[in-house]
Amino acid sequence: MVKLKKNGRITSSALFSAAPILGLILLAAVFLLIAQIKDVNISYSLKNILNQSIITMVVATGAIYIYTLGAFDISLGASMCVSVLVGAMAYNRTGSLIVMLAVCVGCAVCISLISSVLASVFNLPVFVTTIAMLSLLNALVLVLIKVNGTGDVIQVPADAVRDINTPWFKLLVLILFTALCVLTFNYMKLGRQEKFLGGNPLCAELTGLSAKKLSIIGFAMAGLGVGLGAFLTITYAPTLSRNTAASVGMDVIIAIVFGGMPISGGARSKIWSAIIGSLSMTLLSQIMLMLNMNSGVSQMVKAVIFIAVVYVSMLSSKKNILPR
Amino acid sequence: MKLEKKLAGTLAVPVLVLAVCILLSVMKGVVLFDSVLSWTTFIRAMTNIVLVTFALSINLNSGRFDFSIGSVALLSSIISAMLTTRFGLGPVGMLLISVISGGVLGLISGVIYVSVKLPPIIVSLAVALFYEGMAFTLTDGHGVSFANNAELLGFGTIPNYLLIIAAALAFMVIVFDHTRFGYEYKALLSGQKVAVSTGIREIPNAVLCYTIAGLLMGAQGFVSATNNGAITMALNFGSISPMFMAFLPMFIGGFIAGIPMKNSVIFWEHFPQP
Amino acid sequence: MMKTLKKLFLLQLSVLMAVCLTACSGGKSGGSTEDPSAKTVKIGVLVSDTTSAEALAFRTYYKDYIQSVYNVEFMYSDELKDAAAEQSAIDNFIANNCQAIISFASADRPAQIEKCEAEGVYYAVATGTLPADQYEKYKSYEHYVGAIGPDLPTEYQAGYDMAKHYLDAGYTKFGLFTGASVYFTEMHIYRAAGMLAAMCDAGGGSYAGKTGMDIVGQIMADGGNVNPGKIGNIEINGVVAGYDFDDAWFGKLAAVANDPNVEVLMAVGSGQTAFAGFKPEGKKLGDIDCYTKESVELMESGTLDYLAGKFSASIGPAFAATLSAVYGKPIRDKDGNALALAQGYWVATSAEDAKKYYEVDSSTTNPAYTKDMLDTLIGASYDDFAKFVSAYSFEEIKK
Repeated sequence: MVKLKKNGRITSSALFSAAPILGLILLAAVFLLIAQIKDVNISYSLKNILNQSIITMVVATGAIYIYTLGAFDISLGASMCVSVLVGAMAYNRTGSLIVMLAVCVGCAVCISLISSVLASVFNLPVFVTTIAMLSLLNALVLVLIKVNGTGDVIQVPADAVRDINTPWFKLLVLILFTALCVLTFNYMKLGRQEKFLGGNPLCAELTGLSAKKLSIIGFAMAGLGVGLGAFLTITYAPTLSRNTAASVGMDVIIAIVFGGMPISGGARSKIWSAIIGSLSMTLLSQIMLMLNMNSGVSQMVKAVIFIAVVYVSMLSSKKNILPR
Repeated sequence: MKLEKKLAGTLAVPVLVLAVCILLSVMKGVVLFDSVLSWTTFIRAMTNIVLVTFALSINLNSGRFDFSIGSVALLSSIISAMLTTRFGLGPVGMLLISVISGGVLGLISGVIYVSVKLPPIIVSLAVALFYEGMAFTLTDGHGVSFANNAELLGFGTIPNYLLIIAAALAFMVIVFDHTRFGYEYKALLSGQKVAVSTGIREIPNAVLCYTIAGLLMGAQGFVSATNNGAITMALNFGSISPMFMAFLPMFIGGFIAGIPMKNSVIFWEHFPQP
Repeated sequence: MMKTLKKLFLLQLSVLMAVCLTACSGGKSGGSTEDPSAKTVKIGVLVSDTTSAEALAFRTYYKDYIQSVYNVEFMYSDELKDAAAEQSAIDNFIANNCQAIISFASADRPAQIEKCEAEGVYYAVATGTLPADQYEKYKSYEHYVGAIGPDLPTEYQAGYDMAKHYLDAGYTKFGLFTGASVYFTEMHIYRAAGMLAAMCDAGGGSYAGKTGMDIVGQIMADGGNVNPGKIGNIEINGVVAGYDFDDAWFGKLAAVANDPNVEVLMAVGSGQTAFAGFKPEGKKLGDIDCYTKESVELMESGTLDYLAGKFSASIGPAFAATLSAVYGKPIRDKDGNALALAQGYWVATSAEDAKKYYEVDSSTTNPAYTKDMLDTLIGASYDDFAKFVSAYSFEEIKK
């Protein structure tokens, strides 16, 4: 637990642990400043930032449950791609958005459960099964596209999703899902148990917590996030291909790290990390774009800023051995 | 355990995989290895996987997930290709430059890790982005092409690939089984806190691990580049895909290494299955 | 302290959301009514590929030449892999007050056009065309400038001409690289179909019972695959497709390149990457790609002996049409419809030709389409514009 005050003064560790939030504020300030100088359409930009970050926010918020356990899921992007395609196919057969939502969520949750159950059955680190799932899901994507028989893409009619492709709807989804996650993570025993298990697996098991059960529940929550992200992806861009959601896996990792989430999980895990990190990442991309830099240079600058922000945010948790 | 049982256990997986491949080939009406070219393709693929798996496993076994090995291979091959085409060097020169530059890039990566003391996965993400960006900037996005250079392209023969595999294997066995660094590496692997408490200097050990991984990926970058004479750029983590081909061989190798046969453990632990 | 930080964060989030909600109610954000020629015109460029030689050549022409002689600023997107990325990129451009977008990305062109129309931003397709049904739907859109580039019949003809070049020389055994045909990329499918059609005409046979343009449908029915086999007395003894860039893919390319039953290797694109490094001396290689320093070197060494290339300045007319639209002088036909013009390739069958074309193509001071030439297009009539674009051969441009 970070000591916030000592002798009436704010401790340095409190400042460091607030680094992601301060980083977000700083990035927002830099963004607004550059936007003013470059005469950018700020209101449109903000809507744009919301559109670009919301899917990562939703998926990453669900993924927090996995990372809190100290686990790691490399197959989130592939899982989302499968959910997106299956959801689109379901809509094309039924014409119902509700069915599409249910199928997206159901498919994503099933995939996540398979990963975690397999890990339990074979007694493997869950990361190993997610690697296997990654290959399987990538192959499944190609099969789905072929089975659908409409060339290299699966399309949902744009008119069908136009009415829900609005910032209001996306915010509603985000708020509801975040509220659910905040409630279960911060105010119910699920969150506490997950943090305990992530922080000290041996002690957690000795106190009677079931690692397998918590892993399954955590993956199910992550699957819910992936499913909602898949639904939002279809509403935003209803032409879907094998490359849909290709970058989601890496975006989620960067977002939660950028947001101050410790990669090893445990007690210091925060559900808000996903939202802070997603927004920070998107703001940084927008700043790079406004500066219109060479792609390679822009990427190098992003790398430096990324590590600088994470370094500051983790200054309070340094030990005398190297982290792993 | 009897020697025959140990041998059978050790060879079971590769023989089983071969049997499945032969069966699939027969069903499809093709011959699995019908020419020297088939063997060359197979041995080259094995070379790539051996090098990447060695590089990945050095750090992954220590709990250090490294996304940046692909970018090290990319940047080291770019540097070596640019210098080779500029100064008219041959394949040996290109290989040496690629290995050395890979080692330097790995060293930088390791120094960053021990300096910032952040989880290695985070450091590797940043390093991967940085190296990809640097490779893109160095070539202005064009990559490097030497498809006209018969000498460099002619390196890709079975004896040369086997030589690289043998050299990498010998290097790994010697360094990790017969040096102080190797003993300390294993001590840290099995108990980090205890090992550090006994006086093992973790920081130089970690830096050296990254450097060795970089050397191996430099060699892999060279093998990849001399395959078709072109190196194309990657951005936004496009270079991390080589890493994923190493996981299965690593796990199979680790599984096989569990079969108690002293000498074979040394061999199979370091010889991943393609 | 924690409470204060939490309050600060919640406040910031609330402000952000309030601004977002304010932004949500915003109307069209582009299409300024000021005189556009008075200030720098920002043009967004959508690219699906940032690292291929062709993409880089196009970028050099726009950024190093056009941007230096016109009062414009190009903003390039990152590599766009899917429709969602295209939508994000368009949003980025609109937010940065781009008045026009030139697109090299085709994951979902209808969605691109619809968004640009809704936001009042001009939109043009470079190096490609719209399918007939899409053109019918969008030709009258106010902000749709048009498409200028090799149309599908031109792609078909490029493949046909390349194959005919070798068939006329007496070659009968071929190995093919069909590139992105397995991803249903029409450009590559039409090029492959053209090659097969030429073989049908020369060999006196058919490809799976089809000839001519019908072969396109056959390839699509086969999932974008071209199958080896015989067409009359012409043999297709090896086919590789896709861009896997793994060991198996390189192995297949090497196998086809080294097959003793293959005399000529033909590629629908990226032939230099696919075959050049594996091909033994003496075997012929033809490619439909672009002119680069490397391709000239390959022509000089004899590794490559046929190159049908897009010249980088071919995207100049698309830029001119876009700028003309931004300046309030859209180029429309007599019925008020947008541009739909075809351009072809420069074909080099010798190192001298390749070198000559490359020198012009790579010049950032005197490219194929200079400012003086493009200035004649701004505000031109549709017919004059079409006449200019149709004279795309090297000799016509450089006379």
